[in-house]
Amino acid sequence: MSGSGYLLEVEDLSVSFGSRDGTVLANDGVSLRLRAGETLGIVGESGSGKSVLCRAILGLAKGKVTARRIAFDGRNIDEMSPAERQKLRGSGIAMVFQSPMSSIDPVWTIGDQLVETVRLHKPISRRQARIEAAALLDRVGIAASVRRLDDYAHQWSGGMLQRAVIALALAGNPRLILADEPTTALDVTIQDQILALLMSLQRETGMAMIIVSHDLSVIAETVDRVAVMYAGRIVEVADVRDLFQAPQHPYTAGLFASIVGGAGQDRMLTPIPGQPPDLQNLPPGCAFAPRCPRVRQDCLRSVPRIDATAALGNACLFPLGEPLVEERQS
Amino acid sequence: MSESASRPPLLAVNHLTVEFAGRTGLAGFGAKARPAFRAVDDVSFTIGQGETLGLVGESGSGKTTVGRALVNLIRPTEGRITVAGNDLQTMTREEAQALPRAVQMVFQDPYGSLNPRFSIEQTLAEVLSFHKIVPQGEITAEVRRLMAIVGLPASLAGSKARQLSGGQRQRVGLARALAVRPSVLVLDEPVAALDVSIQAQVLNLLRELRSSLGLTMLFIAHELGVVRYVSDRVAVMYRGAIMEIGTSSEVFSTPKHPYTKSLLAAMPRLVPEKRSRPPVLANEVESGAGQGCRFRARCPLAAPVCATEPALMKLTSTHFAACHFAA
Repeated sequence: MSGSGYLLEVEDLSVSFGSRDGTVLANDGVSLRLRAGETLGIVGESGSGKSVLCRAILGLAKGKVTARRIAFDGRNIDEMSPAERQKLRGSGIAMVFQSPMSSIDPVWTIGDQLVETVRLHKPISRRQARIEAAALLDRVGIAASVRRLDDYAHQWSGGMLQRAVIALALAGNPRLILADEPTTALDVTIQDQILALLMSLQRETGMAMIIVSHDLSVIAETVDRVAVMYAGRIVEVADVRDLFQAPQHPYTAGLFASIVGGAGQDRMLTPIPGQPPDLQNLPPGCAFAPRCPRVRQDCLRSVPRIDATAALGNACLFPLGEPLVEERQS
Repeated sequence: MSESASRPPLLAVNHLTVEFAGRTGLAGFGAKARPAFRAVDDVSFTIGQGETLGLVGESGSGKTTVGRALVNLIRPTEGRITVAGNDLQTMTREEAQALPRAVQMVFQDPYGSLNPRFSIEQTLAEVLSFHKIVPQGEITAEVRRLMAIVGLPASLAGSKARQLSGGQRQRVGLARALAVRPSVLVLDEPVAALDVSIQAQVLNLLRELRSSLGLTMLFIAHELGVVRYVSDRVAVMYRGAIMEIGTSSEVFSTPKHPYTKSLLAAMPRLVPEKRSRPPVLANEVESGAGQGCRFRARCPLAAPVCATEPALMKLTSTHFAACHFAA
């Protein structure tokens, strides 16, 4: 562990893409910090920049990436050699993508892919790597793991494939897993299994985890702290309980008011008025201002931001003081 | 047999079965016949005038196939579908011409279900003139009226699909379905592709239209909370069959089928509390068709009696469950 005490530090990250019609600012001044073993949730709607943020952390983002600092375990990623960066991916940080069907190569056996990945991290023979591959499948709850090494992706269900993707991520014993919508493509009973698996693996290994989701209920059960993104910016970071009990940013509050509260709830939804922002044409001030019920003149002038070194906070000039949502305990 | 709806049935589905021919391999390259796959297996239900029935189930449950059979996109292998007493399959040519007016569908994907070259106005005008809903001279006014109903500003009439957001596109899909003044609206995952803040706008719109236009709807979705929000009654499907059907509060508050109970328990809660519980169902979906209850392989209550397939058992005048242990 480095002197800063943080496993991951991202300061003032911006990612932009050029398109035919102009520049899209997909991440705009994003800062976040994560301690070893901590679980951070990133919530946001489509286009809010949450997936781009994950890719930028891994150095995989397309487009123009600028940051004051991205550091893993105290070391600035910019200063790493390509070989060090390659090693960081997999053994430092591993990623679990949304669609298991597209993370696994259909023309290789599951076992071949695991063996290749294991051997990328360790100089061992194919035979030994095969034993480790079977052990990895065991850890993610695939029964008869040795026999199933020779299966192809099409022989597995979506839930099993997501287990295989998690096994691939575990191969390098990472200290941080980035899970980008890890259960969005799965049925609810399978989602339940995968979330239980991720939580038990985290307890077992003590690794840190970033779970990206559009679904607040997935975040509620899995993370310590939540970052809410809107239009490429983090608009609120809070401990998960505080966020659910008393959201500070009007966008966060609007999100809560517009979701169906799960089983046992029946109240009228209050949608957020208007449309999601056009990332090529953001207003000069707060990006949420055109949809915000609390908007005032000041909100239109400059972009409110959270202090880059703060663990908690909100990017709103007029945050909500009182709890807006009653606690939804069934 | 089938459950009685609270209102006189407008739509009746009787013993609907849909099979897909099975084949493996490429045609001419050692393709072999496989037994037909039964996507929908003897499904019966009714929907009363002005009522919304929610149809929930996981992938492969057959819910979309039921919806497609209702709009004649899929031919049923067996069974009858009647709308206001008219059999959808045995209609004459003239009656079939009127058919699109009986049942209309709103699709999941607001991006793929609109013609990218058409403006909103053209999209709606085409339907109106093809089905001769209003005289040619009144089409523009009717387009404006439909746009207003679904909450699209008239200024967007000339916009093409790519210029619209997902929520706006779904409103166009809804306006197009409403254009022919259907008796029954089938909505297949109408909000699954939308962001939550936009989902709420569309869900509220559906609730408004249900009361203002007296719409009769089959609302197909995998998300239980969403289904509950818009449905009077709910049917839960699993691998081609209805496991449980009842009023929303019966199914969600006093579920009787172990599959319904598992689905509800597996939903992540909106309560910020780190989970430590094991998964509700530990095992995966078995692919082979076994005998007896189709949920047996995953069911926590499975017993020898489950080797016999349970029929839907009447629990109340509106609540039915297909489980030997439901009573």
